[in-house]
Amino acid sequence: MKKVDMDYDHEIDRFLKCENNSVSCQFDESKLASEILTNSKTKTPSFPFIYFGLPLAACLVVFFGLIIQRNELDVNLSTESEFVQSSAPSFAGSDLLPSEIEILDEWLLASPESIDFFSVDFDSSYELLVSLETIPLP
Amino acid sequence: MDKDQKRINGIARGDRNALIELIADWKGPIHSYFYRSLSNYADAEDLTQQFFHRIYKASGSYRPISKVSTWLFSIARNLLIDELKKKARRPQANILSEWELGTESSENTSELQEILSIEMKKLPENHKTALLLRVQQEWSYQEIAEMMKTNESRVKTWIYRARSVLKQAIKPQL
Repeated sequence: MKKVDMDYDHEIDRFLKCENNSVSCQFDESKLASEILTNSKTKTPSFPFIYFGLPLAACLVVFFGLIIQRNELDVNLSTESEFVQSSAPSFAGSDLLPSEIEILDEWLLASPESIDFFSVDFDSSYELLVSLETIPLP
Repeated sequence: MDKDQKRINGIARGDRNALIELIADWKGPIHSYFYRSLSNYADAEDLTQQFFHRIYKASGSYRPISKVSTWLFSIARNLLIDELKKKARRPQANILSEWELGTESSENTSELQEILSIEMKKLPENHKTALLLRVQQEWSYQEIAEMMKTNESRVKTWIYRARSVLKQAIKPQL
């Protein structure tokens, strides 16, 4: 039994060591060495690009990205403030309390038809009363 | 400093002769390692050439903490793992190489060798590497464990398992 096991091991070792077949590398070492050295010389200029060019490009992208984002934010803020300024005077002259304005907002949002909020003259109270009677409150 | 360390230092400085000498001394062992791991002659030769390209690039970062052979086989093993991953992504190529295995074998290649080649391909990479370093390079278990970043008992288990699989495969033939 042991002998058989040894035979197996011997066969496996012979196979792993490539003893049965003459397997060897066909390439020439001096040719490969020349190829490696030539490749390294032609590829050398890419190193400064990788180490300096790419990080620089990334920094520029981030920098300009931040500037553009900031400009967009400024534009958005100015339009929002313009909107607030334009909408604020409609209630400025009215006698309505903030809680009443809130109720009105809710009512307008819940109303099935879109109503031009700013075209209604709530000071006269008549239109408001009419609409409150005709449209069910939420 | 042994001759291979001097060669690596020479290669880092761009010494062509040092590179030629290193290739001449190591192309055989590295090719045998790749050939028995992949069971494909062309792939093994291609990978051996890639190996020396990588050695040239890495020569500058070599530190003589471990033996040169350990460093060289660590790089070879990484290349092999990359290659096996690539092959796993291309299952068609695996089928082809099994077919190649049958056709490329020369007249004197026995059926036994074909069976062993097929079984070797099926082994996990760590089992294969441990077995090949033990048999081809005659490394100690400790050296193998150091290179594969594991412990000796695990290396022994891997080699035992790999051998058992190969033995089971050739039993009906002997």
